[in-house]
Amino acid sequence: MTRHPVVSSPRSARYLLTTSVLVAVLAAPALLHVANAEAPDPYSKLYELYTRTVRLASQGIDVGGVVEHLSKALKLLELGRYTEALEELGRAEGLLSELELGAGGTVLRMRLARYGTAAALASVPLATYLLLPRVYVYAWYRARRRWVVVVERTRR
Amino acid sequence: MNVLDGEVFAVIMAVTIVGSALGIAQLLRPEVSEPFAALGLLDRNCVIGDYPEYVFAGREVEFCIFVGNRMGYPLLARVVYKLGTEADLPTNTTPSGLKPLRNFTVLVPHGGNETFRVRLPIPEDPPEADRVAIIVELWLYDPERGGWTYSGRWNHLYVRVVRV
Repeated sequence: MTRHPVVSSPRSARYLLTTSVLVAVLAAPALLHVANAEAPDPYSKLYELYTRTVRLASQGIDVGGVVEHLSKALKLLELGRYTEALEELGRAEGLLSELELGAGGTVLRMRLARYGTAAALASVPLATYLLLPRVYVYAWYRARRRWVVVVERTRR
Repeated sequence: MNVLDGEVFAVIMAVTIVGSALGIAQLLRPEVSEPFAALGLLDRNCVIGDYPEYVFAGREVEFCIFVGNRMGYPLLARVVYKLGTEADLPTNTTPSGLKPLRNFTVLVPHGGNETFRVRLPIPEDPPEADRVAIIVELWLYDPERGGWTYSGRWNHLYVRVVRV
């Protein structure tokens, strides 16, 4: 009769248990690190989004909507409601990404409007100098178009 | 025949040139010429005036804090509360060396302001002095450096601590 290796002896079970515990203890930090990497720190996220918002605002883009979401998220963070804060941060990030995508075109349009208006204002004196006398003369003659010129002959 | 009088035309041209120059200057000037952030310590009714003269050790005292923003961009501001004596007051360049007892973070849009109620704890063992200073400092998040920077603005209120 053959004897099986003694795998179920108390000594062997203790060895297995010890090894498992050891592996779990050694692997725990690495597993926790992975878990932390997956769940972002809400404050780091807030700072990152705020930095991007300031960058956009300094280009003259209206970031009112993003600020509203970030402000709401900050209040939730201060109250310790992290899940809701992360949702709000997600909404802010979505809006921010949209604004960043269209930032180039928006800035160009704003600059064109600004410098176009400045050019129009600068041309007002020149236009006045060239057109005012002509317009005035035209209006002057038009107002007197029914006038009759009578040449009086004086006796000598 | 000179229909338009020369002097009248000169006056019209002068008015036009001045108006045009003013318009362009108004259009091209920077939106914020002197950026600043403001900090205010208000009483429990959120106005200036009815500040407490005595506070109790181990209890909280209620105030309102005002933060204003004219920096030209949204401001991430942190109001830091410290309790010290006259010797511990901050300056325009350096914050107080005391340990912060509580801080409050707010985001204020450009041109806006935020007023919020706070409850400031008075420790069981406040500084030994005839009168102590409730100090609030304004710190701003610096997006370029990625950290908090002291703005140089602070408020303080002297109170007498009643030990119970």
